[in-house]
Amino acid sequence: MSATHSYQIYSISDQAVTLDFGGPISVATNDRVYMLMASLLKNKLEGVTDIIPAYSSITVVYDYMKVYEQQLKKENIQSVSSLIKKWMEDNLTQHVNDTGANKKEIIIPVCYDKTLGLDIESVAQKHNLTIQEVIELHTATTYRVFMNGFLPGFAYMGIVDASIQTPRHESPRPIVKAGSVGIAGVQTGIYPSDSPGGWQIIGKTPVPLIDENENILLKPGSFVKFNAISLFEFEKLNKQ
Amino acid sequence: MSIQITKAGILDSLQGLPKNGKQQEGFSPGGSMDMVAHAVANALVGNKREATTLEMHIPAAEILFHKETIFAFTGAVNAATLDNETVYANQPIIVNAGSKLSFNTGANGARIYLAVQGGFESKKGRLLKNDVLNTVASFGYHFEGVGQLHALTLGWSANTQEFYRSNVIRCIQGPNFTVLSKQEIESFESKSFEIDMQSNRMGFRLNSAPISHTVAPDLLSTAVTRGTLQLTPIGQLIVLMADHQITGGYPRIGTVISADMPSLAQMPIGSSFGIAWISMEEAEGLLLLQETNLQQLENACKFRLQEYFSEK
Repeated sequence: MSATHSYQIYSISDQAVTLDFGGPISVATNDRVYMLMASLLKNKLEGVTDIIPAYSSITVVYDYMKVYEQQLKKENIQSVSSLIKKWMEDNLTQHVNDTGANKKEIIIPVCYDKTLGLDIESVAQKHNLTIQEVIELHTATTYRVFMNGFLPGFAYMGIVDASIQTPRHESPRPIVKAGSVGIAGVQTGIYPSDSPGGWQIIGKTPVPLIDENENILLKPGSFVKFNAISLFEFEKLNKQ
Repeated sequence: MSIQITKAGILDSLQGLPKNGKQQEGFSPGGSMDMVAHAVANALVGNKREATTLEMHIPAAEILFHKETIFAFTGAVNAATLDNETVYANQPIIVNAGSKLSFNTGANGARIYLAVQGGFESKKGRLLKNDVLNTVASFGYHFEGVGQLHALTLGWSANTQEFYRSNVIRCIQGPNFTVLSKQEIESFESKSFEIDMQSNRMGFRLNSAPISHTVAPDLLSTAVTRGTLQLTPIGQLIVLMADHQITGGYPRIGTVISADMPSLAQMPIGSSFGIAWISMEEAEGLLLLQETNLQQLENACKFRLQEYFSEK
């Protein structure tokens, strides 16, 4: 892999550095993110506490003192932040076959009934589609989890078919129920817990996205497909 | 081995070091808002820094000690009342079972940290009246209460003044600093920022004269950290605190340096401060200095406790 893709690298605090490939949201850019992530995980650096992938960037969070104590004694490098930057840039040129992305598809059952998908009717109207067409378009794509964020276990997925892309509500709902499936522009996502939210809600899944031990279902790099279920099936699964 | 909240404060919770490692799954690292006060409280009672402390906001909880212990409190107050006696912050205090601690004197900060020997058993979330907090028995020293006294101060205290500053919080410039207009950049350091009512452990909203800026390009969500200064579309800043979301899409014009986060965490709602931009090298130097001083203080506390108990 060549490292000729342009990028910016900058500190976002005295204990975090971001390497940013730049927008827009694309699978190719996100591939680069996970390629770099896999390389960073393989060539660990003592004192790094978190490696956070996002759409087009990766952020390394570190414990300044740990890196300082481990590294500065050994190497003659000016500062901890420049050492971290160098480590990240060195890993750009590493070729890693396994990007760490979970290739296995996760199937998520979703009920698109109007009583659960509060906005599905208006989304359909906006695009001159029937509700059934919206469901077909939303379930046809295999989505990638570009990143987690917003809430524990919330997965930013894409890319939503252009014919049903819908912007967020101008003012968010005070409460969106856990399990609600939404669309925001090119993104789709599921609320893992009750939360205020502005996404267009088109359905709901009975599958919990986070368990009591804080294990999450949709991890960064996962692939996800939605499977339409009836309200009856939803109620049945919801009771389990 | 326990203490009990007999009257809940406005927001009492058990806190510790940030829990890193799960930010990529959307989990905020959290942790004590004022890491210095947290560390000093632990050091005074002979705990390691990672031990859990009780973080209290003002008004703070009233506490009943069910068993004799050594405790210390740090942060927003200089003194507290233990039964009918005044006890002071930043010192180790041996207390008898049955004593009640209340914080009814004036505060000069926003958060109090209480440590007990061994630390608390970690439990998440807001604490309520009658919650019993179990403590972890991992303390090497033995003592036999304090006789007829309610409490016994051990005779030394930690000077924490050097760790705090008021008025000016130092920041490094962020990746979207350039959305600020030229005049805004020129006059930025003379601006005053007031901590809004709508501020909490997630973030502080800062009220100021509107910040003039160009419309930011469409930013993709990317990671944010404790201390990130986000510029909202209406030209106001939000500074992210301990329980921050891990990603955000607002322009990031800067970040509060780690060494000044404890000072910011102790600023009450309604107080004001200015921002000074410093270089990354200075920020790293200040963090190193703070950490070195803190470790020295921790070592001194440990030495004092060892000495005290070996004489007995």
